[in-house]
Amino acid sequence: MSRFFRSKRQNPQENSTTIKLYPSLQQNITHFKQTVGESTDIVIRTFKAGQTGSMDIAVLYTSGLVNNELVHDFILDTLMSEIRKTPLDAPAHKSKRYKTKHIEENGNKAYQLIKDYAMTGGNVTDIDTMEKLFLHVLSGDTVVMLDGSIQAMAIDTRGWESRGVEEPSTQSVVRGPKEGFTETLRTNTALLRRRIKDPNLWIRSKPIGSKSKTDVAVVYLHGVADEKVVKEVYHRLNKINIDAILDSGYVEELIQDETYTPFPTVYNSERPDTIAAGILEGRIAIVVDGSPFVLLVPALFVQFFQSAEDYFQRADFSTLIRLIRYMAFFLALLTPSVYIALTTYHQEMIPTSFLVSLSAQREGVPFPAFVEALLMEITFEILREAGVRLPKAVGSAISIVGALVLGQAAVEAGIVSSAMVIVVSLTAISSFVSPSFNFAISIRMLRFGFMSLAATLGLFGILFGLIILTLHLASLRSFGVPYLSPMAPFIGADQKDAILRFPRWKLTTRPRLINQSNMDREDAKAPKPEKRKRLNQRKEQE
Amino acid sequence: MMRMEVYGLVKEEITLRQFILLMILFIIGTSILLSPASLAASADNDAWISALVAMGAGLVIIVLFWIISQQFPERNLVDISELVLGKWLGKAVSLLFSYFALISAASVLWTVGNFLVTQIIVRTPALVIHFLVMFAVVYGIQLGIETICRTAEIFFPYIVTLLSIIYLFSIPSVEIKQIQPLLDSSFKQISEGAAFDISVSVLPLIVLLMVFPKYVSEKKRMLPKILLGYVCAYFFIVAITFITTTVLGVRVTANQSYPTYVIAKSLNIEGLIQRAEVIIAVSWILTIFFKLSMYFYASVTVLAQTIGLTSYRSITIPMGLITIALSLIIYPSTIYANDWNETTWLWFSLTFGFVYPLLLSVIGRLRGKSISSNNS
Amino acid sequence: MWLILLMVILVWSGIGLKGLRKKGSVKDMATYIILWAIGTTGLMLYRFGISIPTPLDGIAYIYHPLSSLWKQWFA
Repeated sequence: MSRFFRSKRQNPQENSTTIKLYPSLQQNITHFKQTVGESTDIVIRTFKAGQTGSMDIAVLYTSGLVNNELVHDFILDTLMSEIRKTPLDAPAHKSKRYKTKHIEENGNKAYQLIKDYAMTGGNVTDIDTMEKLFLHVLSGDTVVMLDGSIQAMAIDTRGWESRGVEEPSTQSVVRGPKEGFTETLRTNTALLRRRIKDPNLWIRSKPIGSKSKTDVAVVYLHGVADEKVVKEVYHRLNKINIDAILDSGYVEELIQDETYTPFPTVYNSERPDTIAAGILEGRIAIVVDGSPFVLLVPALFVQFFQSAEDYFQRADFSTLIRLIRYMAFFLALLTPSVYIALTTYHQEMIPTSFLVSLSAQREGVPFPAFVEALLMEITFEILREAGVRLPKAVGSAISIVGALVLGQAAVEAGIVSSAMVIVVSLTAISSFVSPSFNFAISIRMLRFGFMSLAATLGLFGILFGLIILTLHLASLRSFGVPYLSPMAPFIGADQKDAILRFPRWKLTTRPRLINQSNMDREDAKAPKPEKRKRLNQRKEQE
Repeated sequence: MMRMEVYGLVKEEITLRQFILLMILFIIGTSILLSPASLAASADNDAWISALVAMGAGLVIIVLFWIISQQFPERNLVDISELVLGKWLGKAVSLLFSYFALISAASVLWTVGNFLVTQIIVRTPALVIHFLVMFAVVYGIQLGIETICRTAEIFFPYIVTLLSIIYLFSIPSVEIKQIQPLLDSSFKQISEGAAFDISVSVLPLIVLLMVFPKYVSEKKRMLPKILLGYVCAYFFIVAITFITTTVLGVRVTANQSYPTYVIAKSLNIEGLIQRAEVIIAVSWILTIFFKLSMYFYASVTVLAQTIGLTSYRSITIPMGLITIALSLIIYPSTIYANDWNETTWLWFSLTFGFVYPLLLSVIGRLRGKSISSNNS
Repeated sequence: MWLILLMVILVWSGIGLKGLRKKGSVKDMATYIILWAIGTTGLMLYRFGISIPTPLDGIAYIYHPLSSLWKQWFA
């Protein structure tokens, strides 16, 4: 059954790829017009050129996607006025059969002539099928078709209104580059190329999506990235069968190793420096047109605790910050559940003086700790979601409502205890410490699971939740690389840049499992002041 | 969901390091909490010497396991018994072995449940606890031995750190005169304690032969590292026996079900660390989780391979249910458990943990030629 | 509590069985169902308080000669 549907669905696609361009310009244009349904944004300009003015030429482009100046100055102008007197056109003949043949011959000759001598555009591609014709016209190229030629040329004239390079709104840093990716693929690859001026930085792109034809570029350092992973990336991208890609999130979901996991196994970033650093380590970047978020694979657990800034600040400070992030991870995950477990099952573990004040607070609260915590956590999630969606001007109002009404007033009304408010705010703040937003989401989801485990089985439930969580994490792989490496499997050399961050001159190797062949970076020496003895020697020499 | 297709099916492989960590966790699994009591009960003042003797005798058994694993590299226990004992006898023995592992798994599960029900969460019914523990184990086994090993690698540092905290902070309260006069016990007493300790910690290591030579990726210079791991693991048991007997006194230790837990309870370090028994409970449950997983893994894989199933994963869930059911009825009472462990368990584990591999090794050598011709 | 557990067991085994059906090995399915029946029967019997003799009694019986000898030795 499903097979039947699949074959049916694929058929129209196959048809369109097989249609070649007709030699007759009129036929091509008719077909084109029929297919695009006379859409008003597509411009088809036909005119005559050549010595006798009998050569039919058509110029096709989509207005709004092309740079108008380019089209006018370099294509229309050239074709219509500058090569006015060139003998392009065929002499008139009587025999119809002879004429057709002659026109074809002549058309191809003229095509070559124009392409070689007249076309001043930089990037010119030959097209011979209808499908390519549509792809080029609809992605902003200008196509020139000649009567009698079975080829057409597509000139890169892309230029549409787009957002400039701005400071990224996520993963912001105090110190470091403030450039962020934009929605345009070329700008994004340029941002990467500007950081890595190596001939081995390979950028290959292909359109994905039967309807959207979104350009997806794979960027990696040839010779550094693991060839097997590169192949796997291409393989997975080729397997994507979808109508449209509107954001890199689509691609991420379609190429990830495991669907049923709260944890992201593909890294994404808006920061060119982060992506460039990943590429230099041998990872592979996937840039999707229309999305400022560039994907990076393979992605490891530790990566989600690393920020670009770690490498711009002092090593000792960065290590400390990283440790704090891990602490925040556990706080965000476990604080409410530990609170529930302690107050419900293990009161003897709370210091007596604190227990007294705690029970005094909880005296008027009508709910058990679990319901209380659930109430507050859900309220917070709603507040957070509202804060994200609301216009900026209203955002501050929300925070006032959240802080005052739901915090203080709820405590005063005796609905929740003030200890619970502290717990929830601590959790909330901690969950935003993670530099990756999508990783924070997974923590927030898991928190509720841990809370119910704590409510039913106390600390023991939390412990088993942690065991199951670790088992799950250990089973994950990202493009073949174990998700928890370099912790499990343990790799000593990679510990220099996992939880800790060693000084720059110690980081001389790339992560072992990411690229297995080319591990050595340039080795840098630790800066040391010259010994006095040597200084003296040098002085003597001078 | 995308599986690695270029890589093909990723072959299950564990590193020697991971295997050794698993072995250490398996050895200290139940012993860390239970051994001091039984050792003190039989060997009195010389409980820790008895543990030392057990360590020495255990070395021999480890070497036996090593020999059999080298005799048939690239084969697991089921393959070996079918190869050595013939198809049908081999299968029969394998089924018995699966039963042994299942019984062991159920008894370990009972031990966990009993500890939690009597010491930590008193109000919760045993069934719920057994179910949750087994859920984690079955989930882990479904994910594969590789995942279990990686998880062990993650938890190992925490377990060692937590245990070391208990050890270090107990040292100030050690009183040597509690176990004086030294070497007062008879050879009989010491060997009885040692025998029991071996039967709990060392003999069951046979279940690791379902994993050992086959899945371990590096094959060179394994024995010294394994022996080192073994000695380190046993050091934990010797040390905890020494500490419990010197801190609590021999009589008190012998009368407790969980002497280590009692020690942790009494720990109070400058008002900084109180309630340290949670530490010992957490690390003990973690170690026992891996011991239970390995028993269960052996039981399931041996059964699946003997029957000839396509994958052992097919039967993990029903086997998990059986283990839960078995664990609920296995020991009618703690007294029954103690009695059974002291009398029958020793022989039961000796049969499968010593006689069985020894027979396989000897018969394998005697039939060496015919087997090798069968191979080719 | 008991009802929740039963539901979890049913859902869990259902997922397992579904996975097995995809693989399509009759032997695996048969073994699964037999073992599942044994396990569930055991749990039911425990739930309704029907006492089942522990399998350890049998093992103890087999090893009885050895263990009594051992006891005599240390008596």
